[in-house]
Order: sequence, then C-alpha cells, then structure tokens
Amino acid sequence: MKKIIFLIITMVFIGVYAKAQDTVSNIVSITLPKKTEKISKSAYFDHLHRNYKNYNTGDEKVDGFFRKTYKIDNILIKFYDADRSYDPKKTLVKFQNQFLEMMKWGGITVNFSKIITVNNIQFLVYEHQIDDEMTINFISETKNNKCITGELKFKKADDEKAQQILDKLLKSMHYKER
Amino acid sequence: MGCDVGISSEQTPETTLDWIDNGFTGGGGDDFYVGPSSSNPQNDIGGGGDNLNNIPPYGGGPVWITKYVQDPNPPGCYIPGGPISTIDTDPCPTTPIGHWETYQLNVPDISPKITDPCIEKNKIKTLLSTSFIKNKNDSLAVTTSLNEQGADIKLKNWLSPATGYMNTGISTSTSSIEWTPNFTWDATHGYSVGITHFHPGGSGPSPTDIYKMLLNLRNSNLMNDNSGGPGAALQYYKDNATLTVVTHDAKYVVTVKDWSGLYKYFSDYLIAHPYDPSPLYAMNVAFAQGGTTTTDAPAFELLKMFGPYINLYKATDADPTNFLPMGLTANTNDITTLNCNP
Repeated sequence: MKKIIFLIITMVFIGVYAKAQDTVSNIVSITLPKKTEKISKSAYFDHLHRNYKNYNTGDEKVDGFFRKTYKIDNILIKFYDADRSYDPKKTLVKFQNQFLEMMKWGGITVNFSKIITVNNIQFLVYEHQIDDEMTINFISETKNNKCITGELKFKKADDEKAQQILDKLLKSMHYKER
Repeated sequence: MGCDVGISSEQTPETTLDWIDNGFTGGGGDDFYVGPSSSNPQNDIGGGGDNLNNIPPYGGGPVWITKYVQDPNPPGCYIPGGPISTIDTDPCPTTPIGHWETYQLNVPDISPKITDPCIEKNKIKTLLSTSFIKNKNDSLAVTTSLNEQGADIKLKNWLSPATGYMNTGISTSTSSIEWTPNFTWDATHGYSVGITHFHPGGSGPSPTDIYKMLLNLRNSNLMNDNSGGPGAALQYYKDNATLTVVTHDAKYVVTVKDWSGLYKYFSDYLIAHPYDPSPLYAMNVAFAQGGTTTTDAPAFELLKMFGPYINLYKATDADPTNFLPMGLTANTNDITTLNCNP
C-alpha cells in the first residue's frame, strides 16, 4: 500500500513538474485560452498536411519552431523564442519590409500588416491568405537579443475566431524580465 | 573529351529529350530540358523541331539530340494544279514528309565542382573589391528607388579576365520585385559572369534569382563557345558566375557549388508543380511562408531550399567588405556565419 501511495505521489509530482517546465516562452508570460490543446510536432504537421495545401515545405526540417505547438479547435498555433543576437538592431519595420517583399515574390495576398503596442511590447502582426487558407504571424520587438514569435494557421471560416485568440494572446503577454 | 558531332540518320535514340516550357520569359526558345525519358522526340514542342539548344547532361558523355528533316518530294509524283508529265503518276504528299535524324553530341565533363566556402570567400572578397563592381554595389546600396535596380557584370574577354569589364550601367526596373538582366556571351556585348541588383524590401536573393543563374547555361553562345577548348567557356561561367543582391543593410553574394544538384532540384520542382500559374509559383509561395521567425528570413529560407547547391555570402554595413559564408545552425533553427577558423 505504501508503495502505491509513494508511486501516486511521485507521478503527481512529475506531472506538476513537467507542467511547470512546459512554459510557452522564456521571454514573456502567456496565458493560453482554456480550450488550448498541446500537440506534438508530428501531430501539428499531420493536421497541416491533411487540411492545407499551402505551407513552407522546408519547415519539417526545422525542430525548434515546433516545440511549442498547440491547437484550438481547428486553429494551429505555434510559438518560438527567437535569438536575435545575430542582428539585434533589426527593427520591426525592416522585418515588415522583408516580409512584404517575399509575399510579393510569391504573389500572396496580404490582408493586413501592422505594428502595434500591447502591454508596452511592440509587435509586428500580419496576415496572409492563399485561397481560403489564412496565416497570422506575430513578432515582438527585440529585447536582450531575444523576441517572441508566433503563428496561427486556420481556414477563412475561422478568421474571426483566430483574431479573437490572437487578441487574447497578445494582451496576456508580459515580459518576464524587466 | 572532344565535342564530336556525328549523324546517325533514322536511328532510334537511346534517350530522348522531354521539354516543358518554363514560362519564365515565354516563347518556345525557353523550353526547359528536364532529362531523359521514354517519350517521343516530337515532344520538342517549342523548338520548331530542333532541340539543339538544350542543357547537356551533367557528368559529361554522349547526349542524343533529334532534328526533324523534311524529305524532298518522292520521284514520280506531281504537284496538284501543276503540269502532269507522262512520268508522274501519283500526287505529291499534301503535307511534308520527313524523318527524325538523331545526332550524338559528346559534351565535356561538367561534373559538380564542390567549392569550399571558407576558401571561396577570399575570392569573393577580392572580386567584390574590384573598383568596377564595388562602385556599382556602393551606388545601389544608397539608392532611394522603390523599384529594383541592377547592372550586368560582363568581362571584355573571358579568356583574359584581366582586361576588365564592359562599361555596363545601372538600370531601373519598372517593378519592385524584379529586375531583368541582359545575359550576353560575345565579344561585342561582353561575357556575362554575374549580375548585381538592389532589392528595395531589404531581402536577400530569391528563388527566381537562383533560377536565372541556371537558365544562363542554356545560352547558345555560351554553350557553343569552344574558343578555350571544348566546353571550357561553360566551365568558366560555372566556376565564376556570381549573383549579388544589394540592400540598404547588407550585400549578399551567391555562387553555385553543385550545378548538377541545383538543376535537379529545379527540374524535380517544376515536374511536381506542372499546373501552377508559373513554374516558380509554388516555390516562391513556400519560400515566402517562411515568415519572420529567424533574424534573416529570406536568407534562411534560401539556404533551407538551396543550401546543398549554393554558397551564400553576406557582408553587413557594419563591415561592408567582409563577406562571410552563411549556413544554417546545427539544429537548423536559424542562420549563422560559418566558422572558417575552428
């Protein structure tokens, strides 16, 4: 009996510890919506391949971008703490110009692209669309050579819901270090 | 290996050539050789029955080329409406009759040449310091144009590069996303060994830029220039061709280290996306969706796609003459400068 109790306590402890370690970002605190489901990289790509025609085919080779992958209903979400030490002075405007240029090369429709400030953090937020497939990307300003980036992938029918999720996510973000 | 052309009339070619229109500049002359197949040689749909201007296979050796030759009217036929002699008994064919002739062309070995970026970077640094090229790049770096601008880099004599460059100027495109180079390979217009152009959005080279480097291999003057020995001109171009992109913050230079691999990458991609609006559409869409997760997303995406086949160098404004080879980090999560001095 004692062994069983010990085992249960150990499992609970491991579960709580693992949960604590599974932080979305080391740069900002983020509150995820209640229906958020943590999914694996393979589950992320499985959903992507089954439901979408347009995505960056080379991304599967990249591991880091897909360690913080989530799903809310049919909306795929990912977060990535990006290292900006290579070019820490690069401004959001320059990111925006590059992004818009790449989109033009691909002939891709950009629904909006804006730089906003939420909780004293500047973000570049943009949405592009190919057929009925939508993607919202966001990227924060660089602080201490780091920034938080994220992406929401969804169908046009979920556009309003995705905008609401994005709004909640951005408003929940606060720098962990002052 | 020599460059012998032999005619073996009416032979069945061992391999035939399959073509698709690359749609890049339009016109039948831009059909793209995509490799041997078992299809009929009449698939030469854009070349007027003559596909002599194809890309030779890599690795050297024989390549079969086919040409449709019209036969003379058979003896003993008469032309309808014309005088009928007592000898002519049957009308001549209303449509020309001909036959396919198969030529065997031996091309020199142009196997992939792997170029160590840590060695090549010194060559790039020297090249980009050449006053003619440096002046062009410095001008482009401070342009206020909202459209792309660029200049061709053309040698006066590729057999004597020290004689310098043709005095090409900077031209401005009417587009913010494309500048069209003017590739030439002759003594009058110069021998194109590179281009430099400005990207107003601040991005590095695009897939389209890389594609243009590859298309130049099909230039007939380049292919047929045996002045330095069979295939020497083509090899010179492949060993020395550079693509430079200038932005307000940095300069990027691309060289190709594996032409064969690059050719196959594009061929496979074009075959896999035959129904897209243009052959490069899918590639550019995938490229663009790389987003801004990394510090230099365009360069990151370029290396993700073409890393095995190209070398990419970057010099930032902070150190504008120090062209450093770029690569992906070990975990492929970001772009970084290669450590050349371990």
